[in-house]
Amino acid sequence: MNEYRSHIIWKILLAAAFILSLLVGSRIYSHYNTGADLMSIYQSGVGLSQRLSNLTTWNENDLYRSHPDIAQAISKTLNEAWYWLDQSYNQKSSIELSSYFEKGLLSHLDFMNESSVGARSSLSHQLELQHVSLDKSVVVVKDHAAEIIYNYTTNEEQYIPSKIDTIAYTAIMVLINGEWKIKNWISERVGQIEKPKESLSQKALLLNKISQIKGINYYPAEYPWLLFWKNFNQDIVERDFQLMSELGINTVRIFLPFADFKDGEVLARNTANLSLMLDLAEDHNLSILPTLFDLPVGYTINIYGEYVSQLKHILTATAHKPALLAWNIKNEPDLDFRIHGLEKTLDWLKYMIAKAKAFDPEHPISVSWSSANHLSILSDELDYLSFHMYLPDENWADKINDLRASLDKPIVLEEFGLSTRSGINNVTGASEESQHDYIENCIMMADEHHIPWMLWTLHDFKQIPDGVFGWKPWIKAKQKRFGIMKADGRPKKVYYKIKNLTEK
Amino acid sequence: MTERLFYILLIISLLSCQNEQVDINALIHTQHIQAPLQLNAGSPLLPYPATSHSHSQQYLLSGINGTIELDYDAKSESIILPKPINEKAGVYTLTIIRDQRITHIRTLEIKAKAAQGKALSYIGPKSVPYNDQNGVMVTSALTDQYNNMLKGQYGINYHQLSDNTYQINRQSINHEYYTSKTLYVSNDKVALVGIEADDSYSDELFFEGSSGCPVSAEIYVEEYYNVADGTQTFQVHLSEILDADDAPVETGTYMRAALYDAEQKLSANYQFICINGTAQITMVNPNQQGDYQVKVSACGDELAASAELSFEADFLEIPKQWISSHLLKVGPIVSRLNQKLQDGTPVLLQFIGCQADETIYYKLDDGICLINTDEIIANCKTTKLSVQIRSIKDTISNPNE
Repeated sequence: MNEYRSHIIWKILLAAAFILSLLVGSRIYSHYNTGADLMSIYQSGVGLSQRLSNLTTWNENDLYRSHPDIAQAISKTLNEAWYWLDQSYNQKSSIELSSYFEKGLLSHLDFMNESSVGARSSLSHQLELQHVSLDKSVVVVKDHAAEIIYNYTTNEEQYIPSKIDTIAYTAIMVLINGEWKIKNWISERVGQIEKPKESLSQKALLLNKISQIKGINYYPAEYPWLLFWKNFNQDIVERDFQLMSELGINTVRIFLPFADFKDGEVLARNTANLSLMLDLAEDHNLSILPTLFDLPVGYTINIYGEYVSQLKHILTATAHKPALLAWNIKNEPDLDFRIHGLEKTLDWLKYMIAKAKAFDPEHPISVSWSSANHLSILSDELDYLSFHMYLPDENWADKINDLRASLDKPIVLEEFGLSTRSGINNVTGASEESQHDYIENCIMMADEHHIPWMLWTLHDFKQIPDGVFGWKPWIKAKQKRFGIMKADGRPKKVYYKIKNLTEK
Repeated sequence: MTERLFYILLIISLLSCQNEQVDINALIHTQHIQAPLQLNAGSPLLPYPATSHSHSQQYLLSGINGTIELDYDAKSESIILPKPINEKAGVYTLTIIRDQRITHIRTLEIKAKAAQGKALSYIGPKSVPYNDQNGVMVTSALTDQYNNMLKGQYGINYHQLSDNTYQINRQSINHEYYTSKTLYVSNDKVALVGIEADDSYSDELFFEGSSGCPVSAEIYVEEYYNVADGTQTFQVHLSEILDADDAPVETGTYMRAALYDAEQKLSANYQFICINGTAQITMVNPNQQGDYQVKVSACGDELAASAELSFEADFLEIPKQWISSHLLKVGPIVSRLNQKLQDGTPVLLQFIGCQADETIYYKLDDGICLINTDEIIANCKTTKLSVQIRSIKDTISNPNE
């Protein structure tokens, strides 16, 4: 009997150890797939200058126009000085600072950095050249708004919300042996900063357009997720836009993975392809809803600058395109609450929403929640609200109606769909018939309640790249079969129904 | 029973993994933005009433230079600002954290003290040409005793010594942190500039003016060996090198000397430095006979002073001999000083009457040059050949004719 008990206890212990290892393993996996690797890339200095220069705006006064070479040189010095100052602060030691600061300031910076608390990152600068000496060896530059984000969390279990300080400072810089150095600087209160005005009339027009979305989430059958931008193919995109147009779709949601819009050649190529995609959409009378910062990014303070740089680049490069409908800042960030923490995630979202509005005051901004239960989060900051629905819920439309009334914002059913995959753990699976009925029901319900909708997705996929859904083959297999068309292009049953429904 | 317990435990642990709820209300935190606090630089205590203080409260002060945690002194009911902080003027943010929540954010402005230290002064060039129209720009920033830059209505006096008298130039710092003044250096050797900010003495700048560009000079060429051998040298002397104010140019001023042939074609070019208003240049004899002229220039302009020279040919004829019908021997070429011409001296063999006139370069070796004409004559079918060394040219008859 004792032997039997001992056997059972061992069984329990082994099972508990197995569960624990799964939990720990998944945490480690999550950690390394949600941004940890980005830090190392950032610190490697790849494209650092390009990213930093994106964070600086110049007042192009007469001095600036007369001395563009000096402005460029001191901009580089200031940007790098701030970058290394932040790094020193975050590592509690002075590194590389003597290249940027004169001795008088250095001793003070050393004292501050050795005693620093938490983490910080400088995010943007508004520079004005105020004085250049005759021999071009002395300049005075004013930063009208240096934006710095601080986080004082020392215990990850008790997150302290980040705070942003905006300060002005005047710096005297001197040219020593061909290098500009900051001789002295002093901070002061920020004057009136002119904020970009929101174009409410333009937004109202676009929000009206959003309320009429009959849309689809898009990746081509051949190159979904991480494969899309790497293998961007104009012919495939045009073919698919033609299909969507014929199907009566008016809006296409696309995804811009953070890693595919980093710096250098990749950024230039993919920005050009994004512009091309917007032009192609215009040709097919389609609107585009890009989702930024896709796939895991992480929300640490140290890399905010990189996010802002990317955001500014993409928004300013494409905001003028007629086919652009709105910006989605992040896909399902509520799934990150558990991994990164609620407040850290929301801190990041709030900041990026505000920045997106500043970089593009005309287009509505949203975030997509994985569940309608989270629609009230940040609803004040967002121009319209989006949610995803993959679980059956007969009363969903009524709930959305109620939320729409209480939150007073348009709400978009941004993703819904049903996979037609069947397998070992899902023997019956969902038939094309079931998919047809489910989607028909959702669309009819949405139309009845005037809820804009976006279907997941156009195609079944030929492959699912690694690094999106983990290693589980049954998940990958399911994700392959959400299309209303098969991977070889043959329509599933629901395809014809959608055509009927959009024609109504 | 135990087995049932095992499955219950398993289910509970799995459920506990799935049901981790997110507390949306955790977002709420309180912040009170109030009027900015102000202190003068050097003040070590920021008054903060004990009634507002608690032991769990953290005080963080952040500015452009970083963030530091501050201690609270219950006795003085103040937050203690350590020396490096309280001496650094600027705008700071005081963040008060209690129980891991930010409860207050206040702006603290530490004001610079009155300017009683020295001004920061930057001088571009250490010396400027006398009477240079661009002058020298002095950029100054007033600072207090802690090296904090000051902003406001300050009057800056620049006292400049000129011709044994002081000139006073006044400049205002008008709501800026800096001022700049362009000063012109008169015809003095040394310029002394004092900077004075209102009543507080600040700084004294001492810099040397330099002479202007040389515009005139006396030129003299020492007796020279007047043979165009390309090896001997001759000395050119310059004296009385003066700038536009007839002031001797100072030591270290760069000038150029050039040798031109009769057709004003540049033969040689030299750079040299003036020493005490004089200079000496060693120039190499040209290797072409003829008349020459030495000219000097400075700052891109030519001076009026020049010297004429003349060089004769180093040798008078080119000995030549057909060793065979295809092999021409040129030389030995011997100079007037009965020395073989330098190895490597170019020998030009010219063909006349080909489709295009052609020149082939050879070099003297030990005073002679052997030329195989077989291929040349076969290709060119010419009968007219000439050889030239330096300025001496001679025709050659074709032995095959």
